[in-house]
Amino acid sequence: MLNVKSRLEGKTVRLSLEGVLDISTVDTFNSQTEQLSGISELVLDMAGLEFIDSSGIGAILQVVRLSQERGFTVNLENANENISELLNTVGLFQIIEALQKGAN
Amino acid sequence: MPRYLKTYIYLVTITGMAVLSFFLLRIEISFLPAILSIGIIAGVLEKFDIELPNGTIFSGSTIFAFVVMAVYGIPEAVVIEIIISLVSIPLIKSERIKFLYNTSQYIICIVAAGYAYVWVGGVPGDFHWSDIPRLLFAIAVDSLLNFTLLSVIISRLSERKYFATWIEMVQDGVFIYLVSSLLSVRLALSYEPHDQLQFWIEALFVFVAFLALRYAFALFINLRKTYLTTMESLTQLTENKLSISGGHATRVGRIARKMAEKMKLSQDEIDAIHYAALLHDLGKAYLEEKIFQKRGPLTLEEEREYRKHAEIGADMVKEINGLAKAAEYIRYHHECWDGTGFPAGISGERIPLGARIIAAADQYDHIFYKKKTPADFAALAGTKLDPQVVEIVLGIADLQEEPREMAMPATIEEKLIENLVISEARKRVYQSQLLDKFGASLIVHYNNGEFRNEAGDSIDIPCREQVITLVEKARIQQGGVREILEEAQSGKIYDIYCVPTGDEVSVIFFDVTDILEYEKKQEERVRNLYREVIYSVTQGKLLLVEQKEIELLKTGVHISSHPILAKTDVANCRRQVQEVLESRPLPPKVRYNILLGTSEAVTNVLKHATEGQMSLYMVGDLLRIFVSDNGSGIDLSELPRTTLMAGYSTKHSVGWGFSLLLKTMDRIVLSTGPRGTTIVLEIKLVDTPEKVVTNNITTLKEENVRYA
Repeated sequence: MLNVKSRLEGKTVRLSLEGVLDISTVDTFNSQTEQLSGISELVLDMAGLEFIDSSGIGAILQVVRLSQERGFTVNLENANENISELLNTVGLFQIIEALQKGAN
Repeated sequence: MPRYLKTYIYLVTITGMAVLSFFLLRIEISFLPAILSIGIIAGVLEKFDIELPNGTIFSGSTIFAFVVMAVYGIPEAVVIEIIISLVSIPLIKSERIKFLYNTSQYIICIVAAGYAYVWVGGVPGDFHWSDIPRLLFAIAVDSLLNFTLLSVIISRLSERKYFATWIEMVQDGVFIYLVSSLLSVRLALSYEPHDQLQFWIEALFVFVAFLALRYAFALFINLRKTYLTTMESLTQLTENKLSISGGHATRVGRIARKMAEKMKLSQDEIDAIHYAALLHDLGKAYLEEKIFQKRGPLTLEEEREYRKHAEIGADMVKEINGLAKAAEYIRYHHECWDGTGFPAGISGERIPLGARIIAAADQYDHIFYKKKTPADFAALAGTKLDPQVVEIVLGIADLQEEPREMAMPATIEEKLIENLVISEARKRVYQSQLLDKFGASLIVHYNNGEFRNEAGDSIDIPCREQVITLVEKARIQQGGVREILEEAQSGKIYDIYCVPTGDEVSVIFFDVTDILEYEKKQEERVRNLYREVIYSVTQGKLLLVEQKEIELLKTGVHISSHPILAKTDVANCRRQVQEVLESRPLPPKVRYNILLGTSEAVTNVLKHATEGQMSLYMVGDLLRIFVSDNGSGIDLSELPRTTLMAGYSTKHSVGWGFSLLLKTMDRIVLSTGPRGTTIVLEIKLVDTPEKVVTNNITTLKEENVRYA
């Protein structure tokens, strides 16, 4: 199960993820991110995220692509140890970094 | 023929003949040369009738009957009608009763028109300006009476309601009435008893005008036919490639056209619908062939790919001049009335009518091709199809003939199959390294229960009984049949092609025993090669095996099994694994990695197959997670890239799955084939020092990273 709470702080949207992000929950996640526009920053707060796999990572990559199109930045925060290692292994952080440098 | 219809025909015939004998005696002999000349012109026009683009037949001959009625008299007009009848019927078919009935009907109509003319104050034989409305009235009476009499027979033959038939005839007849009236009035006005030159020039003018009109319409219709035939042949070529039943597009095109005609749509609309129906599956040519040749259900990924064909087809057709409307119908031909279709998911009347018609025609053809009944088709009303459109389809009586009729293929299709069979055989022969072995191939001709060789001698053939069944099938279908048969005694395998040519069927045998054996060996060799290469580059972490070797791994304690059918099963499977891990003292990282591996393997099943199963076995401390599916397997040549390259996937997804598996598991055993893939994840549930070390290193590294 995945719970996504959305909060708007100025031009920043903070999505708090709670639960697991896999093929069974990416649709819930996508429905929250697809409509994002007119913002300058998206924060994915992963404090409550227990598990993510390649399908979930794929969904985050989609958001990163979307951010390039619509001109906002993406920040991943509070990922637990297991998850941040995984994201590191697949190079997600490097991708985000490279893209946002390129955009600037 | 029902009795009332017979009675009706005799009644009309007797009345007609009685009227005829009454009027024949009243013909003015001095008019005869002129009447006969006009009769000849009328007769020629009757012979060269005009087919209007909407299919109605229009002949200029009756114009002369009206004119003669107005400027000579009713008996003379009767003569014209007899000449017309003589020209039209015997030349087509020498059926006496049909001729008599038709003649009678013409006579009754023209006499009624004549009396109508007299009744409103006209005097046959003396036509003036003031008589124009009277003549128009008389022509209307003639037309309406003609429709009234004819509808009795037509409605019976086409099994439709009398009144509906009549209304339809009147609607179709309005244009013809206007043209006939205009020309009749013009011709009648030009008649001067004492100076007939003007009249004959006008008559000639009408005559030539009609021939020119006929030529123009014929040209137009021919052009359209050529266009359609070209398109039909093209679609049949694609159908062969896509394993769609041959002639599907052609049939859907014709059914859709009939529906559109029945709904009285405009000619432009009917043509657009016909073209769209013909090309409705064009987009499939763009997609990968294997999706269409696959026999089992499609995976999610394949389904998504398949669904694109409607839009791709529409975009392709849009580029063709004049087919913009047709393109829109193609785009929406997979939409459903209840909104469950694709690509847009629109419902009801928001779907363009043309697209709804094509959808119905498409379903109709599918259902009748599978030999189902109209009830199966009617059941789709309101869900998949527009209920009103369905009703119209079911109301078209002669539609049911269409699939059978089309099952007899046109010559072009026959040639195509023949060419395909021959070229395919040729290709195989030339490409084969075992060309010399093909010397054993055999060509025989089957006729009247006997097989003969090229020299005409009766010979014995392998698998005789089965081949006879094939040959009969080819002859009845008038299409190529291919089958691979094994002869039990010798164990030889033959690839057999049957190609009908008229009554005879040519049968070509290829002995493919050796080539199959060779291919099998070759495949084994390739498999072994891959197995070794993959094993060594993954340092023994990935082992490629045969399915039966997988079974050997199912030792120890069987803990549980779980089906993989829906996305939620990914989480369920993880939960099962988690239960096993709970009792073990493992670092959280290892725990996470095992769950990650489970998640990836199970997700792969959903992405590349339609269903699967996960089973857990324990041998001592070794946990084996078996995940198997019914998909079409991993292509051997894709295997190194799928397994080794991070980020590579055959289905455009985020291809981290496999490389993550390799990273996190102790060993992976994989078996893949056309009937499915099984992956075994092996992991020792002990906290080895080695694992602790690697975990610590990654943790350290991580702390130094600040993520933007």
